[in-house]
Order: sequence, then C-alpha cells, then structure tokens
Amino acid sequence: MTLCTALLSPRFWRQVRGMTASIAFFLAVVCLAKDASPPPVVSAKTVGAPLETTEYDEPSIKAALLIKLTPFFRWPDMEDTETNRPMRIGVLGKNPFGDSLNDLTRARTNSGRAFQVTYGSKPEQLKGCQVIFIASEPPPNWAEIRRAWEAKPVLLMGDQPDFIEQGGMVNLLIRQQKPFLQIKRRTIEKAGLKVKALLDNTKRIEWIP
Amino acid sequence: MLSFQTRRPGSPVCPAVNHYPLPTLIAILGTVSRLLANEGNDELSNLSLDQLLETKVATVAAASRRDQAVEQAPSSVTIVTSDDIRKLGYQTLADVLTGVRGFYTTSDRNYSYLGIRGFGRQGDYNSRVLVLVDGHRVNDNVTGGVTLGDGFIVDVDLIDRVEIVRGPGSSLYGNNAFFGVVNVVTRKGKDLSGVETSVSAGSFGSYRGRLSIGYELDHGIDFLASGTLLNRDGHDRLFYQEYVNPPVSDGFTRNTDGENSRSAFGRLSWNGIRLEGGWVERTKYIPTGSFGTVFGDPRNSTVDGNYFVDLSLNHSFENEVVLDARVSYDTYNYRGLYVYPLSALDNLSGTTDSIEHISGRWWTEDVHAHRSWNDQWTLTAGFEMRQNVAQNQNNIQTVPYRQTLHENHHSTVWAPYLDGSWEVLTNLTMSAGIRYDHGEFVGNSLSPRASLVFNPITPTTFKLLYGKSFRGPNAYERFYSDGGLTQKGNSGLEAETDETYELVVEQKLGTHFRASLSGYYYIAHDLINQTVDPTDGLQVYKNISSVRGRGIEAEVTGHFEGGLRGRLSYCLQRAVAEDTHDELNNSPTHLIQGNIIFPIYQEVLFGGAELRYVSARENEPAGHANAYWVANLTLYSHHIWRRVDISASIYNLFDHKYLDPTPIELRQTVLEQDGRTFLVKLTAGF
Repeated sequence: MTLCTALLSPRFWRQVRGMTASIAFFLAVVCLAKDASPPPVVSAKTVGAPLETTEYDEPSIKAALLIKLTPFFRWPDMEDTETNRPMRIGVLGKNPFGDSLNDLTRARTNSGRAFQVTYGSKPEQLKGCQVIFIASEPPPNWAEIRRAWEAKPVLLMGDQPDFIEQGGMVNLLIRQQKPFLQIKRRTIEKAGLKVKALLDNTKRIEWIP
Repeated sequence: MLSFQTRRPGSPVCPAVNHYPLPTLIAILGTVSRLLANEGNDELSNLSLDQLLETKVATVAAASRRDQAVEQAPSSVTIVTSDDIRKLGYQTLADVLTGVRGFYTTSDRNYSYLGIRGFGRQGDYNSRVLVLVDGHRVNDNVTGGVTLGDGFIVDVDLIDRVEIVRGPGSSLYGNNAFFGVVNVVTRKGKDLSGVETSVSAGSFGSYRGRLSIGYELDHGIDFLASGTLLNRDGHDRLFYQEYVNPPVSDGFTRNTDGENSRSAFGRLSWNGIRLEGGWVERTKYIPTGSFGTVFGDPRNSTVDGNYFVDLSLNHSFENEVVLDARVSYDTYNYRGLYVYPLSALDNLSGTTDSIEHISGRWWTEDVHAHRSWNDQWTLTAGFEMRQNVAQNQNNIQTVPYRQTLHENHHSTVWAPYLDGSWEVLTNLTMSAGIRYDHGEFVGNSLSPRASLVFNPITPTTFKLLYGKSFRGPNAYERFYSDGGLTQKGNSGLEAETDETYELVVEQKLGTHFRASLSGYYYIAHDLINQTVDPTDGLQVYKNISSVRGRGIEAEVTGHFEGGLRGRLSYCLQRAVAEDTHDELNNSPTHLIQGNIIFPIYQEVLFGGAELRYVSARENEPAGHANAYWVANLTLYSHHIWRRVDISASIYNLFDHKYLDPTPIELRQTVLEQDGRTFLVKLTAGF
C-alpha cells in the first residue's frame, strides 16, 4: 500500500523525470563525444604534494624552456667546443614571448655560445637560424615551412596542440598548470640533429614515436 | 670668477620632467618595471630543465569557465594554494577566505558568514557568493547558502587550491554569484600516491581525524577517497550579559557549544570522464539562545547535511572545440531543534520542542563548449538547467503537537549563456558575456558583463570591468514561517541585482614582488533584507533597500628563493544604504590583511604568521564592535621523518578580545569571539 502511494505521488514522478532527463542528457553528450581518444600517458608521476610552488606567466616559462632545451641537441655543423659562433634562434610569426626571450638570451649562453634572436614573418627572414620557434599566430603556413626547413639541421619548436602532427619537433605545452614537452625524435634525427641522452631521463616529456 | 648656478626650490631637476611630466613618469615607471622584470627572467634562467618543468603557470578556471592566465582573467582574482593552507594553519574554508583581500567573516557560534567589499549580511547564509567544488555548485536550493566552516563538504586537507574571483559572476554562473565566485579545486589521487592520514588536537576538546587514499592507476585512471571525523566540545561556559536575569539565569550557559561533523569525498576520473561525490553532516549546539529559545538548554541544535554526485565529461575535439558537460544530483538536509518556553505561546509552564526540517533535492545539467580561433577569438556557449525536485520546509511543535510550517515546493531554472573574447591588439583583449536565467523563483534575469584587459608594457596589466549579477529570492525567504512564533514568509519577493564597475592595475615588480590596485563601485538594488514587521513583530524578508559601495584595494605579494613569501593588503571600503546614506551594519571601513611564510630550517621547518585588522563595525540599532587586530602563528615541518608532517598553530596569538556583530535572531547585538587557541596536527603518508 505504501509502495503504491509512493509510486502514485507526484513527488516520486518529479524525481523520476529529473533523473531521466539528466541521464538522457549525459548520454547524449557522451554520444556526441564518442570519438574521444585516450589522452597521452604522462610518464612523470608526482609523488606527494609539492612543498612550495612559485607561479610564473606562461610566456616567460616557454622562453626559458626554449633556451634551456638547446644544449640537449647537437647540430652537425656545430661542435660543442666551437663557441665563437652564436646560436641563432628565429621566431616565425607574432612574438609570443613579450620581452622574455630577449631578456633571457641577453646574458645567457649555450655552453659558452651566445644567443642571437631574430624575428620574422617569412622563413626567408630567418635563414641561418639553428632553432625556429613557430608561433601560433598568424596560423603557420606548413607547406612554406616544410619547403624552407625540411631535412635541414634546424630544430623546429612550437606550442600548438597539433604541432608534432604537422611536422614540428619539440612542442612546449602547458598541462595541469605545468610545462609539458612533446618531442618527436624521428623527425629530429631525420633533420640531421642528435638528441643527447641526458634528455631521456627528464620527466614531463612525452616521446612521440 | 667661479659662479655656481643654484636650483630654485621647487624647480624640476630635468627640463623634460617640467614639460612632459606624465610621459616622463610613465617612461620612468616603464623602465623600472622592465628592469625589475629582467630579475624575474633571471630567476627562471637559473633553474635546471627539471625544475623548469615543475614550475607552475598561474591560471584560474572560475573567471571564464576555462583555464586562463590570472593576468588575462577578466576579474580580480586571488589564488590560495594547498601550501598556503598548510603553512598558515587554516582549518576551514572560512579561515582561507578570511585571509583574502577584501573578505571578512563573522561567526554567531553556529555559522560563519562571509562579508565581501563592505557587504556582510549575517543571516543570508552566504547566499551572495557562489561556492563551487571542482566547478560543481554547492549552494543549496532552499536557502541558497553554503556552510563555510566545519560543515563544508571538502576537508581543507583535500584542497589543491582555492580560486577567488571578485565581482559579479552571474553572466556565467547565474544565481548566487552576486559578489563573487569561490572555486575549490581538490587534490588528485596521484598527489597522494598512497594512503594519507591526519590527526589533530586543539583547544576546547577539539579532535579531528582524516583517512585518505589516492592513486593514479594504469591507463590514466585517477582515484581518490577520503573520510573525516571531527568533534569539538566547545567552551565549558559562555557568559552573555543579555541573559542575566536572577534568579532564572546568571547569564552563563554551560556545555552548549559542542560540535561534531562527519564527511566523505571521493573521485574517479579517466580519459576526461569524472565521477565525483561528497557527503557531510555537521551537528552544532547553539549556546546563544537564538530565535528566543530557552537560553542554556543543551538541546538547542542544528544539523546540516548534504551530499552530491557529479558526473562530468571534458573532451577536446580536433577542431579546437572543448566540450564540458556535467550532470549532478544534490541534496541538502537541515534539522533544527529549538526549545521554547511554553509560556511564550500557550500560557503553559514547561518547554516545547520546535523541530524544523528543510529538505532540498535537485538535478543539474550543464553543457558548454569552448572554441578559440588562432588564439585571437574565443567563444564559450552553454546551457544550464536545474530541476529543483524538492524545496521542502516543515516545522512541528511537540507540546501541544501542531504543525506550524508545511511548505513543499519544486521549481525549474534554465539558462543559456554566451561568453567570448577578442584580442584586438597583441596587448589588448576585449571580452563580453551574457546569460539569461528563467525560473519560478528567479523570474527573468539577464546578466551581462564586459571587460578590457590591456598590457601596455610586459609587467603591467590594466583591467576595466563591468558586470551585473542577481540573486533570486530563495524558498526559505519566500515561504519560511514558524506559525507566528518568530518569522513569516513573503512570497512577493523579487530578485535583487548588483552592478559593479571596477578598474584593476596589476604590476609585476621584478622577481620577487607583484602588486595590484583596484578601485570599484557597485550598486545593489532591491536587496532582500531580514527585517521586523512592526504590525506583528515577526521577522520577514523584504526587498527594502539599495546599497552603494565603493572602495580601493591594494595588495603586494612577494616570494623569494628558499620558500620565503608573503602577502599584504589594505582595503578602504564604504557601503551605504542609498535612502538613508547610513553605513551598512557589519561593514568595516578598513581591512588590513597580511601573511608571511618563512623557512626556519632548510626545507623542513617553516613558520607561517598571519595578521588581520578589521576596523569598527556597527550593528544597528544598538550594537557596536570595536576595531581589532588578530595574529595567528603556525610552525610547520615538512617530511620531518619520511612522509610525516607536523604542525602547531596558535590562533589569536595575543589573546585579543574582539567582537562580531550578530544576525537579527540573536538577543546579543555583538558576540565575543574565541581568545587564544592551540592546535597540533600530524599528517603521515604511506
């Protein structure tokens, strides 16, 4: 009797209606996103809560990463001992670093080699650079980029979700508030560059096969 | 002959300054800023690659319903991290918010009430700020409120960070995002990577225990489960002059301040799909004789409980569209036991129990998609629906038995919303948003916002902000009535609105410092206020007034290598009733808040000190709370042995006596708060 009363009550049917609508809504959304692909597995594992964290702005972190990564690569025409030639970095497109890259390169060196930064909107303006950062704005013309640097000893860096798929080598991303690198070794080696073994043990790097 | 050219008093040092004072000043400031900014980059360049990959990018999700840099967020934002919480000895979310610029809390020895920018209405159960847990709304559907003290659904030890977004948030979140949005982001299972337990003991017989387990399993499955128990005996006795009535009462109430709570929280996430749930039940005994109850009766108590289950999906499509969808089920249950003298109602001797039951249940569905085009244009479009399947309030009196309140309601709210931004120039971003809410209680509410974010030079950000928000009358304000005892309902209430204009300047000062200066002006119309109806002496909620508020907030934060960091802020604020031009009750003109965290021994032992100044507050017609200073001190040892942390805190270090204004239902117009108290806490991971 109590069960019948409960089943006949408008309150019960309001609950059922609410639940049905919610489940239907969620299923519809899941169906919409059914082509979801599993996220890449992050090799690094954080153990325990961080002791102390200082937060920086994204352009400064990416500029620092760009500089900090260069010693981990070897160019065929540049010996480590040859320090009189500067390491030339080119930024293609709209400068995403503000003043950070200039500030960081001013007093820093790559194993004793000075940095020289060039900005340009066309690949021709960046001839002779060993590292090219491809900005997301304006949208990169990949055909033009490939023509300019394919199979040449130039390290192509960027910070777009599909950067590696498009032919990039090192992708600087931010995930869960922290920097995260994607590196495609095969493309790098195809260009005649070598990745130093020290980089293999670094956390928060996803090696793209 | 040698001659000396002397400078006349008051004459400029440099002719350029004389002719172009403003450009020169800007140039000097710019140069100084640039020089200081270089220091910040130097610090980054000194980090190793491993350290660099562990640095954190300052982001906030609550300001635009998507992650964005704090500097670019169209709001004035403060982030409190788990590290701050541990080292400053915060025990509750109310403690966290009390340390935030422009925020202050009051306590009536049952609930903590939040005041923002000079507006602190006790008795609104914090329904003018929206509180989220991982983006899930926790304000209930009957009172619109949220418990910020020990009854909050997430243990502070499980908090990863708290995002505090000041100003109207209704253009994205709708109801209750009136003066701000607080988003509590919880820790992930992988942050624990094992079992973690915590026990603490403190003054007034306060004991708390927590057991948590969290892992990141294979295939990216992240799992977290946690449970917390708390018991606090409270003060042995409390004295209230207002109840001195010999020989009936000596003004003391004994063993009536106790509290206990139980809570659980859990989450399972995989591949962008997340199932999350929380439960809390908190019992608090009431020592103050509120609502005219029998003073000192140990049965006067409230039990607040709620739980939620939230299933959400976050998916990024290849065309840069990010889809967020969630469906959730929430409940809120409140049981109040109030003991009244029978003589008050029926001219009988003895007492009667007045038992209140509030029960809210609701389903929420929200879906929104975000897309950016070349990082120049962004657009968020969403739709939210909330089905309040129960908004029930009941009250019975036991002797003689009668039901004095029986108001069972249900309602629906639906709301489409749109928010977008356009990077006009590389250093200038415009954004705007609008949301339309429709429902039985909220009526038709349109909430727009607009903002300009301008970076003239790298370390400087200007934000010009406008927003409109609303708070609909809730079921409690519309329908609560206890049969002519103390309170009656008002079904004719309308939504109250707020419009805020704000200019924020944020300035990085080199490696170590960051400063912000904010000036704001707001006008809140048709405020729903608890008042007394002179015709029958009953409390009733009415749309009675408009309030104008204006203020300036200044803050400097600093951090140094080795873990030394701190924050100091000053707020000058004035909130007045538009009709009388009187300052609002519980509205301090000055707030000074500061904290410093300093390493004592390597990376093992830290000190955390907090200082808070609140200027005098009125509580008309007869209450006055003097200005006060309060200092807290915490010693925190990190991994003193394996994964064991120990902390010891002293709150109200100098044992200052200070008072908080009270809500209208208390006979006392101000209440003395706790003096010096202690807490020792041990946390161990396995």
